[in-house]
Amino acid sequence: MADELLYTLFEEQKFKPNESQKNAILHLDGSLYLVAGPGSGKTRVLLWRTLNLIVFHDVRPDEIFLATFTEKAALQLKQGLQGLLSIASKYTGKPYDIAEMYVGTLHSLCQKLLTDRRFNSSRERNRRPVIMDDLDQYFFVNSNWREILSSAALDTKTEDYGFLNSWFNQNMGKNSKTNAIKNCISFFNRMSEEDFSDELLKSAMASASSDAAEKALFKMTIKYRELLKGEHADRVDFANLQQKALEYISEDLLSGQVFKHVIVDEYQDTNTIQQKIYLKLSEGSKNICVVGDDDQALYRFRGATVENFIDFQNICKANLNESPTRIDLSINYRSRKQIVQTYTDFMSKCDWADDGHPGKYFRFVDKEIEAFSTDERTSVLLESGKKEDITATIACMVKLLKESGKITDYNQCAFLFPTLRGNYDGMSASVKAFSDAFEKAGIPYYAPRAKNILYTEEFLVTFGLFAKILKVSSSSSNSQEFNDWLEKAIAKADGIISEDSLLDEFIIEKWTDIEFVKRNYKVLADSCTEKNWDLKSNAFEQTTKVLAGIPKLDNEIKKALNGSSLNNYIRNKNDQGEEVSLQYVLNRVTALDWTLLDLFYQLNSFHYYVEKYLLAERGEEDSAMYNFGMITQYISKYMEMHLPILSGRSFQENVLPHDFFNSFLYALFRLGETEVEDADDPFPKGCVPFLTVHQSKGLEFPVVVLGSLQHKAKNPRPLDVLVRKMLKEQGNPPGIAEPLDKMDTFDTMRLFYVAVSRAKNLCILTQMTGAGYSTFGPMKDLIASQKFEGIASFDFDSFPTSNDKSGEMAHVYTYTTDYLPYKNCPRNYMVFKKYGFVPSRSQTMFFGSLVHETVEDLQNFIVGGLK
Amino acid sequence: MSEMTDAEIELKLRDFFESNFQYLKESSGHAIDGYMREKAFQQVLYYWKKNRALIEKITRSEVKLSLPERVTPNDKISYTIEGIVDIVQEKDGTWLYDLKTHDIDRIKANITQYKEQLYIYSYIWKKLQGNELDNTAVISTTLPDRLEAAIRKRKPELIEQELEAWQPVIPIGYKEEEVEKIINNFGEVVEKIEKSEFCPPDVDVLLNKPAGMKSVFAVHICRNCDVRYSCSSYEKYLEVSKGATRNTMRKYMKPSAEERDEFIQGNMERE
Repeated sequence: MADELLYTLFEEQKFKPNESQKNAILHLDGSLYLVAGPGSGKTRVLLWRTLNLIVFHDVRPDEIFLATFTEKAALQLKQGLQGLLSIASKYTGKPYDIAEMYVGTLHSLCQKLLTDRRFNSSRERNRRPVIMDDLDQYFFVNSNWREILSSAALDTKTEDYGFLNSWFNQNMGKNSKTNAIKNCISFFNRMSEEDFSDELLKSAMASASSDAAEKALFKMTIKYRELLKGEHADRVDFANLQQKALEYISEDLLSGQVFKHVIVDEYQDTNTIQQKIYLKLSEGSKNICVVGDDDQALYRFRGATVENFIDFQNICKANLNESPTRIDLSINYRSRKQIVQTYTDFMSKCDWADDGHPGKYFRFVDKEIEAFSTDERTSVLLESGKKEDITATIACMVKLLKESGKITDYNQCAFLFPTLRGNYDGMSASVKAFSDAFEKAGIPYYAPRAKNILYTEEFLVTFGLFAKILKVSSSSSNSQEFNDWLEKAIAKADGIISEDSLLDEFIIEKWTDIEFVKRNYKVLADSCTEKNWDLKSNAFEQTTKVLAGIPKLDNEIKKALNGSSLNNYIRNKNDQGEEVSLQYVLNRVTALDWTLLDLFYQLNSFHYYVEKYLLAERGEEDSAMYNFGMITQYISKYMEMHLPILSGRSFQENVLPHDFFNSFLYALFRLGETEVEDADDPFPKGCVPFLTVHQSKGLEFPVVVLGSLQHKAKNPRPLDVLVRKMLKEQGNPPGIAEPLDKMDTFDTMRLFYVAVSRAKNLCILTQMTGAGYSTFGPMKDLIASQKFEGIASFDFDSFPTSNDKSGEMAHVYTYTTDYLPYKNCPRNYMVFKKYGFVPSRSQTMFFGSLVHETVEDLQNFIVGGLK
Repeated sequence: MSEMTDAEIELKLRDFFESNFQYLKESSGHAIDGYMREKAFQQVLYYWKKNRALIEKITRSEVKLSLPERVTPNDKISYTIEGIVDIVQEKDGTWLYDLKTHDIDRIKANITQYKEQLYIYSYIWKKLQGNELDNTAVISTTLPDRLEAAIRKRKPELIEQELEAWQPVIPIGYKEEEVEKIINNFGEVVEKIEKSEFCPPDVDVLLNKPAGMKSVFAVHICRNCDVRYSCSSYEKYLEVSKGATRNTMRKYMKPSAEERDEFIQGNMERE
């Protein structure tokens, strides 16, 4: 009966599952091992399987734990499930509410776990850790750097940086502090991702095989972890958030019972600590379902281990005493036939055999991926030749596709690159070639990660204007690259100013403001020195009177010193037995009434910015708005780390220019060198997206252009080598381990596999030839064995029109965060909600959150107590 | 819970409050000054004192309700509506409560907007999920001015009296026949958002007072909006009401003396 209804629902939703899909949907008891090729309908299977659990097997949504790789994927699942459930309701007459279900990235689920009262009998909220993102983590390490170094008897000396950086095979910038910090962070993170406790680190330190640098790094890791524990709140980075969560759920003996079903998507990119969490949570029910594709593993550099997936059969047996049922989803519903043939053929161009174990391989070679499409016409093209020629031809083709209506928006045509970056200021040669061709052809493209983010126009203009206002003309940093950037930013700003005389006047006004507080601060500080008053000492009402009597002070400052608001404040504090320092008084009376974030918003009133806002208001090109939003986020981050208020002191001895430019923006600049692959990045309308293959994970596009087929072989990463060694010494070697010298080739195979399999209707391979270009070996073999057509002979009429809706999923709206704000002011809604601008005055928000969260705590406490 | 004394609960409340304060401070990098902090605590404390009986009756707090599979009226774009309510289920009836940090006057002046929300939530709760429902209400957590004044003066009898007079619960009821129209309105807004229609309200809107407000839109709403400097309607408003031109516009960006003081004092509070 239940199954019958399920089939009725399939029919109503026009879903015709194939045999494997059906088996996977119906397999609910025990562990399940889903090997799902590209475009094999895995999301659909997950949706229906979850529906089956809830509707036909009475599993409560809050007993389901479903981890996805991105927030986007989680949202898609939630939306889809909600839709299906409401249809099921019509038949069963029962309501289904998945609000309490665990769906999300493991990071967000870990935060949820940490406050989940089911793991904690007292039902009080666990002390929430403050979560640091990558930038927070960098600055945290930076501000505790000396202490971390000294734990390993190192100092802030270039030779000590060289000592650390050499271990990471860092030859460029070997003596750089920033590199040392970045490298150490990658080390700290990896140790957490492997779930190595302090004890394990200590014993590794004692091991004969560990060299001096390793010993130092272990010590620093332990110190770093110690520093994270705060007096009021603990800090966690992304990696040890997971460690914290595992600790928390391991404290409770029944934690394996909380979830009846644990489902993990993209399992091939799971790391050790994540795997431990999943296994722990399914300890009681044994119902773990992992979904993945070994060929699409991309995240080794974040500690992910594809072997976890390949060896899942044994891992499951060892930990849960269960033999999982393996089901392969092998029919590809996404791509036209030739595309599928191309990427399956490509995988055979590499030797995957495990030499140590005859008959075994480092991938599932027994998969039989086939295309559902019967469209045998050409769907893979190859353009080979000089980069100027290829890029011009392709730009022309993209334009034609758009003009002929074959694609309805430029964002349906994705350009994928193994890497977008070249040198510090920007794009790799192939990306640059395409962007030049696009500019020539007048095709807009969006490539925020292709350049250092600070090199995008909006960042250059804004921080160039900041430099003008704060009178920063060159940085004291000895980094030539950063100085070049600053120069370019200032030049950009000069260009904008020269076209806008009002902006010029505005800047002069700001100079006057700054000079005013700077001058008065100096008068006050000098006079305190004369009087032998220590600025750290206490201020009283009499003190302010005396200061107000200094003749050289401007009237406005005198008024502030005599004013009731300052003096009442001092009196109140003193009444409460608290002290107010002289420094506070000086800062307060010479405070500017604008912060850096205000400055940004004030600059927005000028022509350059207004134009960009207008475009977005009308629903036109909006990439600038995303960048402005990011700028406000960065400025606000700076303000979180420093006092938001700017006062006379900020400009004495160049404090602010130094902190903001040479420390903060410089760090951003250096961190911006690494491409952060963020699959949750937006795809602005009307632009061709330039993405790394990593960013394209889980997505599909009507047209994919693979912008480069090159590869330069790399040595194994020292961290991978070290972790292997440590696991072996711990007597805990992985069941399957790819040989270190093959990792790079394997990873590159997977990278190209993912890239090609994103294409629905057309995939164009671009092979640049000439000096300095070398095509990845197996790709060369593929090209030699296949006769790919070129664009010139391609029959455009054979290309199906794309009404691509796949990227569009139903969005969630609420009354209080969408409907009412939009009704109030659509423009304000757009800026703060859609593009994530950070508002400048957030005082009232602090108050509101404090009240609201405390009321919530109280209510939960009372509700919990009664039950 | 009944075995806990008022004093014990008050201590517990202080605990929650301090821990949230520290957390917010650590994660945002700034805080509110001692005066505002105490004001916030008073708000929670008196909210508890006033609503103790009600809070103790809450059966489920923060229940997320969702209405999936909706499509917008014209372009048929699909979307989901979501909201959070507190639920009291007891012998003499089931109530849905919507907790708001807005003050009573503001709620009363804009009662329709609160009604619309609760009607949609009720629809999901009753019609879609098949639960019982007897009534709905908004609870305002903001203390009335008179109660605040009494607390400031530290006069126990006066506090008692004002606490007694305070009516934080505003019953709303539920009319299912109105829901369709409300959802339709909601859908129209969703459609505009999805189609990226983000032009600001017309200058006429800025020149007039929104319902229940003492000042015009431009002052009450725009004044708190960081992007007003780049807004075409706000620019027109300054032109019409103050005779400002593009050249003199900057003058109006400055905060008032009072705002300035509050802002500086608030943001210097750190340690």
